[in-house]
Amino acid sequence: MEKAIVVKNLRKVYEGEVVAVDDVSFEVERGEIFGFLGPNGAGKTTTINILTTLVPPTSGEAYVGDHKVGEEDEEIRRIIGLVPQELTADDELTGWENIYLQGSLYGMSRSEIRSEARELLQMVGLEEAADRLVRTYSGGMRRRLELVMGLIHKPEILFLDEPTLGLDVQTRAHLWDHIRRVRSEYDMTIFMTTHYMDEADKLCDRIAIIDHGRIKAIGTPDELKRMVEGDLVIVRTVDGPPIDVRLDGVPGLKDYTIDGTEIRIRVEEGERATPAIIESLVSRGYQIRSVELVRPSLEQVFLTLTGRSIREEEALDTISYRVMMRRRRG
Amino acid sequence: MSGALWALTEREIKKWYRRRIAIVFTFITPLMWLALFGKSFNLLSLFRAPDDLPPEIVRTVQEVIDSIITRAFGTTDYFTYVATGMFTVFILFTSMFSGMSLIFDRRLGFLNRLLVSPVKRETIYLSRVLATVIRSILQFTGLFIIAIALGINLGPGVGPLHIFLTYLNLALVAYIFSSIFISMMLRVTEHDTAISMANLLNLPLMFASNSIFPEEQMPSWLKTVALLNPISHSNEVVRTLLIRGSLEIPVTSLAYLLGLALVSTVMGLYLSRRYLR
Repeated sequence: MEKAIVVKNLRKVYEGEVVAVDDVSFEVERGEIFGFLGPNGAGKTTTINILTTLVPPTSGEAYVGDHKVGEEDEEIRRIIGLVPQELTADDELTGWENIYLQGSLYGMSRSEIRSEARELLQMVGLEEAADRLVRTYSGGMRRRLELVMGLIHKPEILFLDEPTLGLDVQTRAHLWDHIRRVRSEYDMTIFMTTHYMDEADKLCDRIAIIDHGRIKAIGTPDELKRMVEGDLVIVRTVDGPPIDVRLDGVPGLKDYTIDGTEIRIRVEEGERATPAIIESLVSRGYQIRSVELVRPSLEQVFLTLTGRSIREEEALDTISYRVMMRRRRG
Repeated sequence: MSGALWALTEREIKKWYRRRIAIVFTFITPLMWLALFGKSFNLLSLFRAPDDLPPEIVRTVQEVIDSIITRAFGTTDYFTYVATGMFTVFILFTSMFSGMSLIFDRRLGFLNRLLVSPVKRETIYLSRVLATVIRSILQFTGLFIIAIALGINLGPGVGPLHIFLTYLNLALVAYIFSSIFISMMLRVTEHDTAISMANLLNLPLMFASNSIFPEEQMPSWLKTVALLNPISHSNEVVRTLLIRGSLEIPVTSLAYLLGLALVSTVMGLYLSRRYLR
């Protein structure tokens, strides 16, 4: 009963060629919010699908609430809840009808569902819309309904797959509040995936950074940020690769890399170092186009670990990606 | 988990009656057969004794023609014959598309919602079958009313019990067809597969039965198919009840239908446990 989720050397290969999850191991403590952070196609949803008994793993072991995936699936299904990435509430039914259906899948009586749902609907501010057809809901309302449906049976472990995908900033912040409230009020373990850095940073107790099916690092947001020490100053010059850059006089200099006309300088304190950097470059005759100061962030950690950044465009790509995934599974 | 079974069935029924236009469309094909074919192809008016003969001979000839037609169709009214045959065909048409909702649920991700829950896979399957049976019976009521309006000739002595047994028989047929067609859709992910399969099967199944023509007059190969076709057996039951007004339901037909129901249940439960994932 100590750990909520234990995963050992998990691997998933689709149709003998696509390696979606590659030798993944991690543990989730009871009561924590554990996040999988990575770009689309990193293997986040596949991991959730394995842990929620939808897809069998190719090899490795996984335990959810002490029950082994693949052997005690029915026990697992009883204690978990899933808020999938897709909006899967039935849009030809009302919000209330969806909730009722969801609750009855877990053997709840109508009156149990009603009293439970009232509280949840109030929390996410959907009481008034509950009698309307889901077809008439906005994206944010549908996400909130999905959350209510995932919570109706009070699962011990809740899986959230990209809970704020495609929502505007304000709605996302609201949803984060709901998720935090749920965790503290219901004493729930939450396993979530996201490709939003800020979401992982603000919401998760611990984060696993995943890319190409492999876990690159696990830790609290602060622990991860400590992996990249100091600030980053990025200077872009107008012409020519600045080959003989001399930055000796820059206070707190750690190291620097040059990529085309871009110089990335790691320093202890960005504000203090920036004037000296500019002075040194200008005195050598370089014309500066822009200067950017980057604080230690998960974005930077991700960049350091994987050599690339999670780009927002990828979010737009999700739909075609999903179609691809489903074809692969079907 | 009977709560889950009913909740899932209720969902199907609710979605169905909210698509009112689609319901109207489901009546069009059987209506065409009833109104256009059943009415215009009325054999009684085709085979009339010539008027220019002495009245006594006219009467005799007409009696002979009537008895020939009655021997073949069980009634002199061809419309009644077709109508009683179309009832079961209508159930077939309805049941054929019963697997569609499963395909859409798979595509839209709703099925995963069910699969991560502790609900039994057999329950997911049975809820679709149950919903189709209920839907078929409600739609049949509509068609029955239309047939009465068009002047179906129910046999003498047809009472509430005959009609109740007709309902039971048609529910059994809906159960057989929907459990077979839903089983076939358990692994299918493209809805056009389901549509083309339904289109491939519906008319042959109708023609290779005694729905619009008695099997006695068919070539022997077709007769064999017709005798194996559950539609024919259901028609036997319906016509015994509604045309002859008799409660002596042919035992072989009833046994055949019950046997099919048993086989399709076993098959459906096995396949749903295996392929619903």
